[in-house]
Amino acid sequence: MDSSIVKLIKAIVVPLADNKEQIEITTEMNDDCLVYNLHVSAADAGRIIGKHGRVAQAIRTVVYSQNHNNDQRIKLNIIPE
Amino acid sequence: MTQFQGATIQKAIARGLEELNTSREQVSVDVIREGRNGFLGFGRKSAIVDLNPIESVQNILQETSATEQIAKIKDYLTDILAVTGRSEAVECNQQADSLKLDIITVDDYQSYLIGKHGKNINALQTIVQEYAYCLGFREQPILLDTGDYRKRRQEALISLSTFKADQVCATKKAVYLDPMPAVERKIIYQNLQGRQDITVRTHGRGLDKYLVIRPFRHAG
Repeated sequence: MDSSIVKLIKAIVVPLADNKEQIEITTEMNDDCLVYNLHVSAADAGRIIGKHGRVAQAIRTVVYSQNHNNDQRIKLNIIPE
Repeated sequence: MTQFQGATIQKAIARGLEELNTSREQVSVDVIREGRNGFLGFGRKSAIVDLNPIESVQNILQETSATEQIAKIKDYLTDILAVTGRSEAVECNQQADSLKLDIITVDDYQSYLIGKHGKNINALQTIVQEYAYCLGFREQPILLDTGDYRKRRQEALISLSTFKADQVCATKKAVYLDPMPAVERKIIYQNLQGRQDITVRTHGRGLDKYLVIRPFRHAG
């Protein structure tokens, strides 16, 4: 069961990546926010992060805007493998 | 092996491309030997290059026609929007200078989609542009729009900048505007370009560039 946030991240990231099967999203609880760790292959990391993190920042903006749970902040980390 | 000779590497490549009847993007070049001018013609050596057609995924992607690419881009955006739980329709509108994607949605959701000063829709636009770039769709810039937002924003920026410029003239004090993307700064520049009483400059670095409007006497 994927939460809607995970589905959203996948909908954005999977078509951008070449190594689609390497994409993995794990979640963990941090002090007061829910952290999504997005694991991508090193080859795709450049594209998903973009120049000066332009694409990464755009993905975060879109993902954060879909967090309707006001009690909990969310975070998105992009981790190249 | 497809090797070609020429006085320089460039000439060798050009000759090879002509004989193979392809373009530079479709071959990989290995330099076998660099050309040498020698001294007064002694010891001159011609350059040798090896040209091989690229048969990578990139090439296949390039071959897919523009209409297919546009359909894919549209599907990509529709999928992202579908996950958010609202069934928006996306309308493609190809224009001479750009590909416009118009998101049709209910009015009360529009403000969420746009975000403050277009934050969300600009982010979405960046993502879609990146995807289009992956597909090899590079001829036209892609613009996202929903319910005439871009037009409304442009009108708002024009009236804001005119108001701020008048304020600068009246108070003789500089006004700092909020950071905004290049497209929006351009609208303001174009709006204020005819005015002699003020100067407009861009400050800041990276994605957070902002405009400063100053009275003209401080210019320098």
